[in-house]
Amino acid sequence: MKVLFPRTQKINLSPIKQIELEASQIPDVISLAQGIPSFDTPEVVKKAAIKALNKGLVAKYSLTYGLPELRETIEEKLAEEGMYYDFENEIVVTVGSIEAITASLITIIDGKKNEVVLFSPSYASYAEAVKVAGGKPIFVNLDEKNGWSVDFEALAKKITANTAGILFANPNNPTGTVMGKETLLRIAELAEKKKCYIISDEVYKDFLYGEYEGESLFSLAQVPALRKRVIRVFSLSKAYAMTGWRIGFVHSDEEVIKEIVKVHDAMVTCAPVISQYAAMAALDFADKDIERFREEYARRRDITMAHLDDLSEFFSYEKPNGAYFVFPKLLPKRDSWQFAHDLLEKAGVAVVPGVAFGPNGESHIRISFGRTEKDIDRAFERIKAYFRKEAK
Amino acid sequence: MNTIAKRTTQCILKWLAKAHIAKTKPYIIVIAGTTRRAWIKEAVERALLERNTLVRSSKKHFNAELGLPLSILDLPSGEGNARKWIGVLWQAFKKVADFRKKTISRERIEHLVLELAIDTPRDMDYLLSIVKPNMVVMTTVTMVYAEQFETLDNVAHEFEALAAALPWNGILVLNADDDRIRELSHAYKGKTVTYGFAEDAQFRAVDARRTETGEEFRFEVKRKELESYRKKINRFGKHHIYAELVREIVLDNFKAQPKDFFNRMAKGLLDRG
Repeated sequence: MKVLFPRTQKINLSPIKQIELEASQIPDVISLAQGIPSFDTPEVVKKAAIKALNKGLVAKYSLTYGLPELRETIEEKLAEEGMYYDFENEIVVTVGSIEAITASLITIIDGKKNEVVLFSPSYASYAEAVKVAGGKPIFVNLDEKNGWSVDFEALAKKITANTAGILFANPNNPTGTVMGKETLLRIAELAEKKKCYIISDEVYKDFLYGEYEGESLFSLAQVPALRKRVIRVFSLSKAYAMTGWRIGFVHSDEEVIKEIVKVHDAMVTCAPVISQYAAMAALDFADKDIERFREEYARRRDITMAHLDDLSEFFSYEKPNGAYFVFPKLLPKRDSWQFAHDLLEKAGVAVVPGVAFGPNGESHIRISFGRTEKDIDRAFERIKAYFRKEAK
Repeated sequence: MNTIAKRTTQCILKWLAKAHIAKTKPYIIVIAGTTRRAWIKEAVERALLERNTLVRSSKKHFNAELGLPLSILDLPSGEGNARKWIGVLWQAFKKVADFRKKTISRERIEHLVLELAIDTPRDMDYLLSIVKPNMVVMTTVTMVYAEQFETLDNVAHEFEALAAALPWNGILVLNADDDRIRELSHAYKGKTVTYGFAEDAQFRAVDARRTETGEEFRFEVKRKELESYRKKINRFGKHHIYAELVREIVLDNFKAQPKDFFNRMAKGLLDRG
């Protein structure tokens, strides 16, 4: 029998969305699955959007690159962080980070250069985005015993003449680990050697804790010599609690961006204009809200870790230093999909099975502490009850 | 803030800002245009600091009906909070009513760099009712506000009012690469300086090329003889070349005043820069 849609048959709906879908059908489920901040968008951002709407500024398309005023603001923000990019030719406003990533992948994947190296575990949608772009995801396992660090020997082996790029999130989703300057420069060295691109997804850069607290995240986009090699992606979804606004941006050297923008134009024409006005207000006026969110996440991280410590018989984990996820290992080793389903059905708690983040994620689950303290406490009460029941 | 409260606050701030200008008499440099204002403002500020003058520039987005008076008074916004706005107004009153010699002498020598932003017709008239510039730097007229003005010529017309508001001894600095901005030279009879890539620009960039670390170009200035040398800036984008040209114009028009500098240093006033 002829298979309908053979190309998309190979693409999976993100397991995170699958779990959310299943959870939505069970009453009173507490979800620690999706990475949605519990906060509402800051007032100043909402007001700016309403003002733009009332002034009649949002009904038409913007330029494909995005509103010039917003790109100017982005250039200024980047310059504050030591990244110098030209708003007219090197910054594109996108529909969140995933559109930026997909457009970048479609741009860099070409012919035999169709492999994209992903760390395992890494964000579940990366592998699917690579497939959508016609590429092949190649996983390189992170070393859990050494705090989910990069195994450079394995990475060097996986980067070949067919490698189009290396895609990673820093801080990493789901592990919450942060790659420091030394690690990033070593990755860049390998990419430079093999002439492949680096797509650096830095959507959680503002949420750093522990040893990284108070520091600003080093980005390869700060290195002038790497401008043509590095494609940096940022989204306002997490930092400014704007997941529903679907707004982000991508920047790189002009010669890379002029190609990415063609894909962006073909896919979406431009990012939602109302969200572009909102983004402008967020970048200009909502920095204190980010700090408020970060402090709250830091507190919730401690609460989550305390609960996990109470369950040390069943979980072991690496302390996350960034993002708002923890990625505990299941003790004893077990099937993460089955465990997540079981937890959902028997305890009414949604978590994401670790295998969704690549083969090395098996026997782990991802827990989001982006939810409220009340939700976290209630969810862990249920998880504790689930294990008590299981022990009987 | 509701409309009545906003209008009242706006009106009070307007008059307090006018009173503050009358009291302190700063030299006012206005940056206007639809894009690139931020970098031009930064360049002007940098040049004035290089000339050892005391300079203060408006914070980003403090450039319209509420932001402009706040910039003049050097006060923060009350954001959406009525109590905060009352605090801001009280601070403004105190500032304007402060006639102590020390305060006045500190603020009288100040160069004030302000951005003026318009987004609907006649906005400029209102802003000019608050502040009269001594120098105006014009950037571009682009489609950014086209919806509100119908045509770009209407946007340019707003800026014409700004150029015409300069005093006889003012300076009008125009982007020679933007036709509508060039045309503004007809609106002012005093000193006009042009900048850009255009052949007839007085402060001109030629042969610009991008290097790994930023933009590089040949800088030409037409004086009695043509002065020309290569310049390098560690930023990317044509707008930074324009900003550099404006910096040169400011350096050319404002001479360093070492005597004042040492006097101010002795009084411990320089850290305000």
